[in-house]
Amino acid sequence: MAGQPSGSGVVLLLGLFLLSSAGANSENAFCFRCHRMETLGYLDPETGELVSLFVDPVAFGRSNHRELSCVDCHDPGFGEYPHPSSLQAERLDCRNCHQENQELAEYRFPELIEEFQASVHVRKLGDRFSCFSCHEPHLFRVTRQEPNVQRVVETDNGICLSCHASPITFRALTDREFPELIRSHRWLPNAQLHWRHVRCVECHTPHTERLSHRILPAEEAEQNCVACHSRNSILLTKLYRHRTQEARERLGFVNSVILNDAYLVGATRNLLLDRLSVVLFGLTVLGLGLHGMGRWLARRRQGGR
Amino acid sequence: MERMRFWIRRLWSRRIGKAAVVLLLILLGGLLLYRVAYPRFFEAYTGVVNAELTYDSSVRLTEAEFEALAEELTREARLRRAEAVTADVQDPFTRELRIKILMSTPSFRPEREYRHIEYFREAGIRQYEGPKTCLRCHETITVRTPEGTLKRVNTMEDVLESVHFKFQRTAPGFTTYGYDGREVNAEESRPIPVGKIDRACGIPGSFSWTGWAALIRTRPHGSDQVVLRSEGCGQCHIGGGYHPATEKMMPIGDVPEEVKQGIDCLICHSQTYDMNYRYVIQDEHGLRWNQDRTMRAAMTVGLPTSKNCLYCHQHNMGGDLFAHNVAAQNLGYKNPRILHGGAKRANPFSPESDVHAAAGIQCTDCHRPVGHKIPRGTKGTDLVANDLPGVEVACENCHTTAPHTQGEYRVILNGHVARLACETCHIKALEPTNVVLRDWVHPTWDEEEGMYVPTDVYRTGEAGKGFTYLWFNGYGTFLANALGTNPVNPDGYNPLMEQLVRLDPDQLREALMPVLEELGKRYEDLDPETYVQEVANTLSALPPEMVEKRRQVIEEKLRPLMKRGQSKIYPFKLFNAMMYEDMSNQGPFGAMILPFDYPTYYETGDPQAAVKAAIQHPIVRRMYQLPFKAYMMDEFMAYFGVEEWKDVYPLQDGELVNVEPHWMRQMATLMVNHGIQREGWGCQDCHRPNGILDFAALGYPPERVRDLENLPELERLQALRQGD
Repeated sequence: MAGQPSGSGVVLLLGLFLLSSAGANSENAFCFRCHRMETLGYLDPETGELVSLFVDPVAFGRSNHRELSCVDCHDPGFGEYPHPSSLQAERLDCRNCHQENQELAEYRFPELIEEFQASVHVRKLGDRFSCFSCHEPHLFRVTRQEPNVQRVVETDNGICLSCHASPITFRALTDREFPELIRSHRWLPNAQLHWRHVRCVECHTPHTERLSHRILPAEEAEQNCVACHSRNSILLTKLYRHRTQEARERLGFVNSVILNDAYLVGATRNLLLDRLSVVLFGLTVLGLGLHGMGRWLARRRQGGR
Repeated sequence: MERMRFWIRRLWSRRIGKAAVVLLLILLGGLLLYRVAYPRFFEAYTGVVNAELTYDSSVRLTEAEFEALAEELTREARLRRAEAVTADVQDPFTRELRIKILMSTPSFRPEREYRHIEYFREAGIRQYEGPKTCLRCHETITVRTPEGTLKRVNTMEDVLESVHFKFQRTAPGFTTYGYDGREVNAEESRPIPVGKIDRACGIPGSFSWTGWAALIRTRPHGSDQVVLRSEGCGQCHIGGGYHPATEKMMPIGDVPEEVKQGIDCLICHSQTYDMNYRYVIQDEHGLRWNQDRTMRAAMTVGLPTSKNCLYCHQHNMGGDLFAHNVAAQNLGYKNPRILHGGAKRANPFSPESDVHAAAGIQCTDCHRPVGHKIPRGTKGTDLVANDLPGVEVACENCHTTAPHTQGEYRVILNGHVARLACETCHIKALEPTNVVLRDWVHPTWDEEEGMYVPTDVYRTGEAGKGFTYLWFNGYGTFLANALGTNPVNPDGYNPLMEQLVRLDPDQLREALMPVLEELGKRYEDLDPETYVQEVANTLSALPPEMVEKRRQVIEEKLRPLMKRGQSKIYPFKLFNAMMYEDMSNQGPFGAMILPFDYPTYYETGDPQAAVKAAIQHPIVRRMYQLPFKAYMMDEFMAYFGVEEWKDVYPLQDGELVNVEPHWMRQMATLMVNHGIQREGWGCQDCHRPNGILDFAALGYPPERVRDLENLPELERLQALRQGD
């Protein structure tokens, strides 16, 4: 209730009464009593789609928002059950916190929002597209905290595929015929393999120092193989950006370039492969030496006779 | 002739030729042995009888009779439709008139009501002679596999391989686990034939060979007049022979042609099958079940509807005393079938008691057949074979995981779907005839029917009594106990040591006393208190070391299985039976129960004599001999929790040896999925102290139990409601 004008005065009064008896609960544990139910949700009468209200407590506990209380973002009125019906229309906006917050300055939000506004999604869908269309704030975790590159790929591509692999969701959002990914990516050799190992955004964002939020349409996306398959692969500033930084810290600048174990076609950066080839080289030299020595010894024995 | 002799001589004169002739003779001999000698030997060994099966109802019609019948059937079908259309007309006279108008309205009268009338007319079919007649056109059928591909199959083969015919399965595909922790017939195990055909059960009190077809001499109301009644498993199975499909249990051999011709196609496919033809007949070879092979039934064939399924399945769903059981109202023109009072699952599928049936949903809408194979679903506690093990039959297939679409609580109700099965809320009661405790050892005289019947000491359809709530992950034990555990507290839930072996003696005493007092009149040495204690604590029948072993087996073998997959709370019908047991084959979960011979039991009320008669059946004798032991019994008993099958035949010199009457060591738990009610339980039916869910027994830790029983949210809701 707290300050939120709701329904009739009777309900408000009653709510205040209950507040004093049961106490408004701003503890996340209270919210999770219901919201940890995996099937909490309903079918949206407009779209027929499932609207899930489930928040995985374990995943939330790992997310960047884990320190926050539910009602920090949501209206404090949600601390009551049943939730006041006036709150059903609540619309949240990430910018409320992120734009002004100095602690988050390194994420350069004003710039990020500009990029976002220029992205194909906003250009085509306008208000129908928001931060939440891609980022689930209860699960959100910045990429550099995930050490497993493979998992980064799965998570990030999962975001894109939630619309781009679901004809129903896609059509509901765009009113457009669903383009099948496998067709639109016909030019890309081994498309499935690529999708398993790199993110959609590697090609579908401009090459900037930091991963851009300006998602590019198909026609502007990267189609040059060499952009990735080269010594100066763009992946080093994208998918492997955090790995690169981390490796630099660990191995020093030069070694990190030579011994980066991020394996890419066209540039051997695999530590194990590097070491293996050194060992193989050593073995070859040793073999040649031994062979030469054997011949020399044999010749000497023959000559002596 | 001369030339042939020349060739034979030439062939014989060469060594390779001689070898070829000998090989050919050996092959011919082998074939002869396999085709002629093996079946004779098999019949002699197992004691089963096969002979030509004839049915009096199969009569040839004249042209005129055929046409008259066609006319009549068409008119009847039309009338039924007209009656359905006018069902809401209140005034009888108006309704009559409307029906009359409809019956002569051209658009209401399509050319044909039953397609096969025309087919028969053209093909000159004027007599129905069983599968032979059907196969004239349907020798093969096209089936759609669950993967969506089309496949052409031989119809007879398809039926013979179906569970409806063979009621067992010698392959993987069970959701059942042995007490030794092994999945029944798993890929790596030695598969044995298991299913209803060869596992005794306390509900029918017999098993399929000893209880296939029986004629019982009854004396209704104590009169001298003997009335013959039909009884036996065969009434519900499509094979028409003198025994269940025994041949199918062997890896070799085939079902004899005469048995194939005894299959009852019409009971599933005819819209006008008359259950009054289904009674036991006796001929020179023995007893078997009669069938409706009239042209009347044959002319209305088509795809099965719920009505067909329910001829048999309402017996175990609603029960025989269920008011809308069609078969139970058509008991037979002769030797009427015996009604079974206590219902097995007591969850009827009929418009009156099930929301889906009321909506006109057919059985095959959910149990989608693939040819003659019908899926049972991927969950099950009992040892029943399943034609299509991987195929889901589930509420979610249609209703999604957010089934509640209206009302202010829809979201929180949908939230419950993660932990509760739909049935848990939407089956609020079973039929009152639901049998929970059946005592075969102390039969009661049924005055009305004029025979002795097992005493159902406890029948109730109430929640928490006739059925209970357990965690279930889709798997079951060899003796039908649901497996699963509380995800919140996986080690703190143990129904096989708690709620399935311990009932509340006070509650039980109160429920059982009237029946026990009545039983006390006939059985003087029956002490009601001891009786109540024995059934309330079924583990009391086990020696202490066996109880300890049981505890160990549960933790070591079953606990990992209980923790598998995702468990939800499901309702389970409870059942226990007191029967005679072969104590040489006892394990921590029970002993091999012995079957009863129906005529002896019903006519004399002497259960021991009935056991003696039943176990003299050749196949039971064979069970206690080496070949059978090696072929399947050792494996069967390993699943049962007994190391080895002791082949000590329990009948020596006319006396039962090492045979004792006992309750099973735990309640069996049977899934109930039908009888779905639109309005489920409300919040407070469970979320209150002593609600219908026993949260403590379900393994919740004490503080969580307190919370679940006193939800602060519910108190608020109540306060709000009162405020309104």
